[in-house]
Amino acid sequence: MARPGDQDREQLIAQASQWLARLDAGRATEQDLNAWRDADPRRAAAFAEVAHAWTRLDALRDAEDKPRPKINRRTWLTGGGAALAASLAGGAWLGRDVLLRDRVVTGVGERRTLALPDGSSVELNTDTEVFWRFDRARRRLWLARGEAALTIAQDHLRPFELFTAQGLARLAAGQFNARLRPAGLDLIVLAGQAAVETASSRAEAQVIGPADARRVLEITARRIDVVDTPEAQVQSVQAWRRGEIVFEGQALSAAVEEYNRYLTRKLVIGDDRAGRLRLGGRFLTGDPDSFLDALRTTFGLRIIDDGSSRILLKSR
Amino acid sequence: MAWLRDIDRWFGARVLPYAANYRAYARKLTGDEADAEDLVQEAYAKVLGVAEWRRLETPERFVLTIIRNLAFERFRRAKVVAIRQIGVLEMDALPDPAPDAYAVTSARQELDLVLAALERLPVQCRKVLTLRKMHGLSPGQIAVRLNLSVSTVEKHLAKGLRLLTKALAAGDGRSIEKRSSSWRDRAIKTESN
Repeated sequence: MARPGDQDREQLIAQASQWLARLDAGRATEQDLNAWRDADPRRAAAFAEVAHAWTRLDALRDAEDKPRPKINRRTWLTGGGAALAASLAGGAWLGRDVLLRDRVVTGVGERRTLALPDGSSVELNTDTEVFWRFDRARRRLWLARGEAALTIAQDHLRPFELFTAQGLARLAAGQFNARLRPAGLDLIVLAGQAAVETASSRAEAQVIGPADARRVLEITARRIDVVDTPEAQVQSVQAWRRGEIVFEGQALSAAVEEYNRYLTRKLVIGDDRAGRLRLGGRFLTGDPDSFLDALRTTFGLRIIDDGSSRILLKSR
Repeated sequence: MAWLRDIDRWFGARVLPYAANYRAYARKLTGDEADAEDLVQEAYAKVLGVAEWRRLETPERFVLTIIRNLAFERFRRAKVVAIRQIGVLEMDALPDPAPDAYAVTSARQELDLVLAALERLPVQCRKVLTLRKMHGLSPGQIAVRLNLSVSTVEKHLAKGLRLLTKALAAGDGRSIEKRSSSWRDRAIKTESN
């Protein structure tokens, strides 16, 4: 017999699915949805869960875009899905080895260097988590959270592979900075070569001579953009390895968000006027007080300490 | 898709991947499947009501905390509380949510997962969802292609989505249960190094 809790959930998920289908068919408006959703917080949760499943189906669109052995649409629709699934599963990237990986983490405000047995090194920035596993055939590193600077040693027999939720990057000997953002992975090639592969696309970038522009690969599930990056920006991205944080005209709201990555006691912007101020400068990630002092003296901000956080306000 | 709010996207990306952890923890606290599901749903509802959600550093720990508080509230209200449950509440720190398999799977694995779930749907549901999401046809175009009415297409979409939501949630769960034992193994292995 169905239990009450399960039944509620069943029903909510069913209703939320109906709503999403109705909206998708243009037979309901956002206002209709809001009226239903706002009446019970559980509905909002059920709808978010269904919407998440709907979004995950977008992976299919990426699969469709990707050139691959031709599969007759009709075959697929009438149950040829297994063949497609099998052809796409060819990678089998993780497999059982997942259970044998080593794990390294840093807490908020922490930095740590992981020396790997092949001479490569991985520097972990604040709040970062990586797994790694080397075997006879390959060297693999998984970035699960945060940001890491990679110095990859040469090994012709074992390629170096960096895995993230977005896809796989094959790295030749060189220097790289990988940062996971909510939108996706930013992989900066400082020196060397990277080839990135996701479910939907591929891209490569290389930096050979010192005169070559550094490149950023901006990787999301849907696309990869390769962008040349000015040296100054590369330097400020790399500042974290020296325990520094560099701002070059960012809005205070963006700067605070960046600074907060390093702080357990967060900074909060108390009014919009303060958030719009633009600032530049070089600060220590481990010493927010100097940053706050600068804000106080340069911008005349008031700072209220409420124990759990520090609130920045524009005075007058 | 204006109806998909930022908070919904965030909820999908940052909260839901740990669903199996929440359920396991809630089960441990309540000792009852249905009660546990209830707690998780209530916690979800609460998270979605947090005005400052953007500032939550580790939303998964936040959800676990809510679950614990909700469980505690219930125990206080209950006339009889099993000793086992009191023990759990007092002794137990919050579990450290294992970074879920989902968080480190490749995009290709994610695709496999979705395809596998899609395979198990009834034929019509699968057809409609495939045409909609893989080929990008509108519900109206699908209706013409399959010789159905739009409202029937809508019904198949809704049904498919309902089944898929449950299947994907259950799928995430399985992969985590497997890993939780492996995590212990790994911890032991690291210590002996």
